[in-house]
Amino acid sequence: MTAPEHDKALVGAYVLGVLSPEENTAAEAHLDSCPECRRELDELRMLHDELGEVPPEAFLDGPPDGGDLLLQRTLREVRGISSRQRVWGGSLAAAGLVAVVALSVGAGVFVGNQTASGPGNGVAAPTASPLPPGTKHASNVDATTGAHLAATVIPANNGWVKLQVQAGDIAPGQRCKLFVTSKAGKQEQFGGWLVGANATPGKSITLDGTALMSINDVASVSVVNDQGQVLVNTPV
Amino acid sequence: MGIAERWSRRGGRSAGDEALIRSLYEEHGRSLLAYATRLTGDRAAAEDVVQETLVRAWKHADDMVNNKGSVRGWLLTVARNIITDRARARAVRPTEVAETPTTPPIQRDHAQGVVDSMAVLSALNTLSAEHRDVLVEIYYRGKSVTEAASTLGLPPGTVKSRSHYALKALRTAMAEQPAEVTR
Repeated sequence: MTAPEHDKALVGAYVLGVLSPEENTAAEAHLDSCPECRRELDELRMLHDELGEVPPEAFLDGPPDGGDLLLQRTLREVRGISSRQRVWGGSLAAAGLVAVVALSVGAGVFVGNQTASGPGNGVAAPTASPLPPGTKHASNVDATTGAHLAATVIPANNGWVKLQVQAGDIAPGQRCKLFVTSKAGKQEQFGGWLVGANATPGKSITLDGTALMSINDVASVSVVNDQGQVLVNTPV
Repeated sequence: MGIAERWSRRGGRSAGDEALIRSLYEEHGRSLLAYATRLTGDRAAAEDVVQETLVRAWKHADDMVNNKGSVRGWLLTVARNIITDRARARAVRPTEVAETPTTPPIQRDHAQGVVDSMAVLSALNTLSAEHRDVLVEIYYRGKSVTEAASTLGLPPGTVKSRSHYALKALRTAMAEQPAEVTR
């Protein structure tokens, strides 16, 4: 393959299409007569196709154009997660419960009408139709905040879940986000609300949501405020 | 790589964490944002993807550093996975109202293509700068021999022969590369 007569064919350059018409003709003439170079041609063609798998953007360097707003935003998020980790302590952080809260609170907020549905500390959110097999229930009361959470996790097709939760006894005025956390630590927000200023103790809010997570992967459901504090978490 | 090793220590984070994010942003931000923008067709969505990618890099610094491919490849793979997952999540929502057995299964096999492409990328990174540069100019930037020759400051004949040897060197690098590349 290193012999000069083979190299004259410049099979690699031929594959890359950078030869002049005359060189192409010469390369093809050599390829016709040389099984070894034809084999190489096949291999390099395959490789050439694989090159196409790499995105051309992979070869851009440096920071994005247009300033570092994106950097600042990312740093703020990381700072937020760091402080949350300190609040939550080691075990949750290790389980990876800290996660992406990239969405601003705006996304899922609906203003806090804490409807009267009883001091829902038991089974959550009754539904009209019978729940499918595999549905899981969980509930918990946080010893520190006093907030309670009851969650029903319903398996859906294609590896996602519907979630119905009742939450209550959360201090008024808090912006709450609902998260579901996978066993691998992946976390997805599936809802959020603002606790009304006149929220009545003992009353619960009922919320539904969906998350792209298989029911078998669901580890816990939690309510987190916009400071990143976990108000209540229930293992599923 | 050297930079990233320092981050793999856990504990005593904050200052180091910010420096990690900053250095990744300075080095790979443009590449990530351009890639995400092309795939999403939306600059704002792409920025969200880049942000999430960097946060994941920070959270999984060990994984990123120990990855057999390049840091760049790891980041692009993560960005692509985030975009795919989001597209899938959007595609899945309507099944909430139309949940029938005929609902087409969601594609789960995007990972393989990404692995392959990142294997090529990390093999490219093992080439000498001369070889890599000529392939990047010719193949990825679509330059003609004349243009590449002028960019690289080489005679056109050298660009041709070098591209030939670069492709052969890449084949060798691909063959030597461990097959397993972390997602």
